[in-house]
Amino acid sequence: MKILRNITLAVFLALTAVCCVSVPEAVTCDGFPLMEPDYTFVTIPENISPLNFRFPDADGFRVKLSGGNSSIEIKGKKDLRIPISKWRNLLLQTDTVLVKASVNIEGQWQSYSPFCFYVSHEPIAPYIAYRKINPGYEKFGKMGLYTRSLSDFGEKPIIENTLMEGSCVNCHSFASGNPQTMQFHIRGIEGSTILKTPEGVERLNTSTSKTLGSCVYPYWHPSEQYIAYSVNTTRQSFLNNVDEVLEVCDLASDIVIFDVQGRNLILDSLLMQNDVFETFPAFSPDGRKLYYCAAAALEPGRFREIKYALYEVDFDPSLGRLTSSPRLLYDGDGQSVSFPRPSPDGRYLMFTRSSFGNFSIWHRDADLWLLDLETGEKKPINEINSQDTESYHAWDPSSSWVVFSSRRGDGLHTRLYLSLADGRGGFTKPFVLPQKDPSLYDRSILSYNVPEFVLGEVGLSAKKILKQHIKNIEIR
Amino acid sequence: MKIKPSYIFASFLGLLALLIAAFYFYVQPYGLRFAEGQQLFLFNTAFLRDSLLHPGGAAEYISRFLTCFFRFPAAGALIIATLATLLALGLCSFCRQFSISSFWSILFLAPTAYYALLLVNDHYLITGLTALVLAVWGARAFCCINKYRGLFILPLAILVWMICGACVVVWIGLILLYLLVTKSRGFLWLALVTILSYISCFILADLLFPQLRFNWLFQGGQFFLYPNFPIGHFLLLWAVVIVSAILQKLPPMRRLYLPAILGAVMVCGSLWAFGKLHNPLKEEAYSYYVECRQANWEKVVEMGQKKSPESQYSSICLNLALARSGRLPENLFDYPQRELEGLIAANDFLYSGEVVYNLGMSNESAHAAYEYMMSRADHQYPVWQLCRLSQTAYMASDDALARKYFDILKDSPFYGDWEDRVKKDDFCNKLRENPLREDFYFDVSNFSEILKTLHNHYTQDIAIKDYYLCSLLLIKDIDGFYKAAESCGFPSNKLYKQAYAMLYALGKIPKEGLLPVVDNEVMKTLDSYIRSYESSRGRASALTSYRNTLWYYMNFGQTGR
Repeated sequence: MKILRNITLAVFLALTAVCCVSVPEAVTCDGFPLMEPDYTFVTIPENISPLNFRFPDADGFRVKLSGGNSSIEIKGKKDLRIPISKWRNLLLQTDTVLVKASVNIEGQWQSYSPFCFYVSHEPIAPYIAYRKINPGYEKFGKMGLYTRSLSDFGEKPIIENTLMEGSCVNCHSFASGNPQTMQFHIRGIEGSTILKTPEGVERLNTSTSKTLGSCVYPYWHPSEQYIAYSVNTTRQSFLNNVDEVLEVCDLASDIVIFDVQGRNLILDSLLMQNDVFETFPAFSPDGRKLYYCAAAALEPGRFREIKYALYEVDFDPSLGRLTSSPRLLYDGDGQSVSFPRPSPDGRYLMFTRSSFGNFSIWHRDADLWLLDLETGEKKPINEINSQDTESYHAWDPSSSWVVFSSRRGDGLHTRLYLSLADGRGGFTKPFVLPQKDPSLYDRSILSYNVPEFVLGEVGLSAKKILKQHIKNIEIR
Repeated sequence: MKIKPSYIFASFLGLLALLIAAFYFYVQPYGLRFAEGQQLFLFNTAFLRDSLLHPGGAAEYISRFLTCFFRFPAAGALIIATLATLLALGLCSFCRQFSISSFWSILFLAPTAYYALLLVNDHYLITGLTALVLAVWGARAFCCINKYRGLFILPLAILVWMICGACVVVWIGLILLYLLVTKSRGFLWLALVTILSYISCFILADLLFPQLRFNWLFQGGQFFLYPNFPIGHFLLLWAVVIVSAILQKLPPMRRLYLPAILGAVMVCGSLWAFGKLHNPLKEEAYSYYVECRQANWEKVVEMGQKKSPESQYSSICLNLALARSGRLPENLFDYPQRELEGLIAANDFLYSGEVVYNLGMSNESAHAAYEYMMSRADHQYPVWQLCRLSQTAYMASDDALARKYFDILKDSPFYGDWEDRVKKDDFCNKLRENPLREDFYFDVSNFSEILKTLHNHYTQDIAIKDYYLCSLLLIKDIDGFYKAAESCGFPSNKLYKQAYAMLYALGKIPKEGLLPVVDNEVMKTLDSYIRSYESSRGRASALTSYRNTLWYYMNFGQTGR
């Protein structure tokens, strides 16, 4: 019995010794470990979900996150997943989370310089809406519109095309982030525009005999009374230059305004000129101006010469019509402007600038620019631009945060990045939308695009919507 | 030895399994290999989790794993035969629970043969058969529960639904049958619970999977490539339950010749049905495609020499193989041609994707791979298309993108070393060093112009040059051919010599002094062809000896001399 007790004791001590062995002799390295995604020195909202990341080259890691009186220690092989409750507690206690990492690479432990996450207390909308789509061009596979909670990893579909096989869902747009007032399109067999207002949900056919086709690129008026749309005849062409995959050109495009109350379209010849391509409308936060992009109409063969400039025109919400001639805001300096988006405080306007055309998502040189609406000063946002495509972007209703899509991850699949705006035209280092599984972006071949901040979840029954009758809209 | 009914059942089941295996191995091996490339299976927890999180996910996961082995037709044939056998044995074992005479077990060959036959059509996936096997054996396992059955039924029904998808209806049916036949205590209550359990799956579906179609969840949508699984086949899932129900009503028989006759009828009927359902054109196209994908050009040409291809897609592959092995201008008209459609097909991403890849158009090849992948109605990412995307990304020096695909493929059972294979591939490396930077739109109707641009870029590539010149001959643009041949230095292959002779006969070029030199032997043949043509007034039957000439293809009979 005594022998047995001694053996048990010896085994226990041996096990304890093994377990207590800390990191063996670690080599100290300058610089930071290779981690994906790169979250070093990013500024994050206080309610963001844990920034899970991975050490792709590691055979093991030990990470300590600390701040205030709290700390989290995590050990693992490659993937670091931070427990959400501990993370939440940590962010409540500090403005700076210090991260110390030791990584085992090919049997050798290496200690790296610590880095930080800066915690911002600027408010941010609790959700982001986006489209997840395979990067096909003509067929869609499985795709859909989703809302994602920023504070956890919860993603819910608004609608997926599994209910209408082969169709595409796109152009989701919210009135100042309000999930109760929104719209999106279905393209294909069940084609229609879904309009959700506090009064209910309707399916509309926005194509009329006097317009070029169905309405696209929506932007809600702050009063929720109007939606500005572009109507386009578009051609998609495949290039065989390895530097460029695809060019999408407009053969014609106009801007129309949809009166939500009257369910009719307001047409104005100023925005429907035959020799001009007008597109990407956006209302100013006070609702009294309409920003848009326009270019001289050229045939598709001259696609490299099509350069869009930024314009504004006065709009009277009480009359529902334009009240001035268009004014040039920025000619693009020989480049092309797309996706103008004014900040909700009315101070800035963010847009995408690329060498030509309007489908900037396929242009590697596409970058985000900022126009100061008070001073007229324009500048590229170097803090958030990369060598690859930056395209669609949206402001948080508080004007403090921006979300944008970029292909910087792998050159093809767009990911969503968030950055804090300092209110003086500066931005912090952007960080990719965190995922529960830090390897998700590495293995997923879905693109996340058209991000919008949303103030709540969108409660829609896709099955009920599809049972609804499609109503035609009229021209006012 | 006394012959028992169970021996007869076992013998005919063995015979049927042998027939199934032999059919798939000998008659449809390329169909199996093609199926392997049309799906993805990964050995990682994320893939497992994603698979299991929807109804029928376990059956799908197992099926995808098994389908990986279809790359070896013998293994694929064995897997299908084994699943079919397991279905019959499961039914047999289930019915033994309520003392059905093994005399009638022979009838279980009917559903077994039926579901094995469905797979002849590659729109049916083995997920259906796997789910059926799991449902039947699940029902058999339920029979072992002796106590508190009522408590188990609801969670088990949901579990079976999550494992087998629509085949839960078979499980429910068999359980009801079992309860009825064994006159279980509290039968009515148990039956009610069973039916309510099934209904609860519908309620759960509406709550948990509001974006999925009802027919996908409950009518076998995932057993079929397209979302609308034929309702008839779904209803026939009940065949296993109905057969079981009939069996327990049939009186035991003593005469053994009856099951023997039934067994023979079913096996012979299956043989006939296999022959009837087999689509040789599809198998032919798959055989050419599969070999082309692996760049087995010699094998493709050999297949063409054995038997001329009958479908357009096979012709495309054969012409590609001829071009890549430098024999296109020698052998183009040895096979029936379909103008430009024999080189590339409009609105097709699979076969044409192979052509554009082998002509070095990495963008268009990636486009074709994506579109083909997106057009898969079952939303699977075919492993072959992922392989192709990794190749095109590597060729275009999009290394981050190529890395992503290589990393995904690392977890697949047979493509873990794909990165090494691509990096050692001369073709990929050659294109990576000299990628296309010409700015042109891809459009099949403008194929010759595209080939001209390609030829100007890859001047040393014989396949592209031959594609270019032959495309002009196939569209009967003899003037265009002359200009193109001039830019290529007037190559002297058999077909081109025929074209030069024809140009001379038309008075468009002099015989000597200027390039191209018109071959005297070819001119003599052309003269005799024209004489035959004139004497027969162009009747095809009189010109059979010229079938493999350009002149015959162009119906050339009027000369300009």
